Amino acid sequence: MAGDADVIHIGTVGAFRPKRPLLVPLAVSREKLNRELAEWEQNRDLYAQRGWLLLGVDDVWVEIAILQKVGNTAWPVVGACVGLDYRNYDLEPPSLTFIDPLTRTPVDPAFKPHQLEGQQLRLLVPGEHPSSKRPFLCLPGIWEYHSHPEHDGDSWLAGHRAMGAGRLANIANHLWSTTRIAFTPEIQISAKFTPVLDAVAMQMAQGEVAGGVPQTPEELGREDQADDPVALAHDEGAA
Amino acid sequence: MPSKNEDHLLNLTVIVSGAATQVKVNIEEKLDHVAREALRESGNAGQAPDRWELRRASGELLDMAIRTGDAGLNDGDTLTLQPKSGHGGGR
Repeated sequence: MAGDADVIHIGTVGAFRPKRPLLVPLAVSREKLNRELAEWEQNRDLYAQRGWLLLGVDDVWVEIAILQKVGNTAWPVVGACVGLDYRNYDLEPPSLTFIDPLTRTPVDPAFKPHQLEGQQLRLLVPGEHPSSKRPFLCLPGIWEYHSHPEHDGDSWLAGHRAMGAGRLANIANHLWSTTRIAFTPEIQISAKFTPVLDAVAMQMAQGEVAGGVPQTPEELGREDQADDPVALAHDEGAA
Repeated sequence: MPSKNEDHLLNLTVIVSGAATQVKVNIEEKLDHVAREALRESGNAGQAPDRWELRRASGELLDMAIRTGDAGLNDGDTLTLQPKSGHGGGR
């Protein structure tokens, strides 16, 4: 249970959490996570300003999304969406799985977190984890990092736990600061967002739209709205 | 009426790893003093401030080498203090 934190429990989330042997009684990990959730609730407004959203909680599984704006535009995108398994916390750090924000199933993240190390940009999703066979966030404070054979010299218990590296707010901060999205000229030239109405979405789903998304009421077969200044202005604004 | 000394003090809320803590600092002190005080108040005494990052509520990163009075902070402001992400990525 989320205890004092007013969060939503969704029964289906967490079904994809990695299997790990239970080393800490669930009640202990649950209580520690509840403290994290209660603190999150206290800071919810500040976190929301930064685009940190708590999507759901199921026992010791938490899902969060990090919204980012693309460069200086007003377009919000999901920079990162993850599920965190706090089983065995905090004898072990939480396990992180990148998930699809809509289906909540594991995915290869669309935006890969990066970190500047000296003058070098370093990719923080270097490939599949040998245990989970899934893309993983290679950062201290994450179970997948500390359980990776290449990091067996960097123990979770040797300082990272004391610094709170696995705490929910700190993981959100790491995800947020490593998934900033620049507005590149390439995107500027090719990006175009067109409103998709229900009728068009249905045609697209049925494979009936050839030559792209209709742009005008006539193309949409909406002759009744051809004279509607609001509808026309909307279409022109989008194009 | 506040004394001149009081005029030089700022009451700040610093959210350390998610937990809010209150600190009162002199505007003549550098921001790393704010970090140090917040770490001490939150039970993280002894941690080196340079392994942490201080941000405004908006998320803007603050340079801990500057004076608190030069950071444009106001009495009652909220900051966040979180560990810098360690070095990760592929080897």
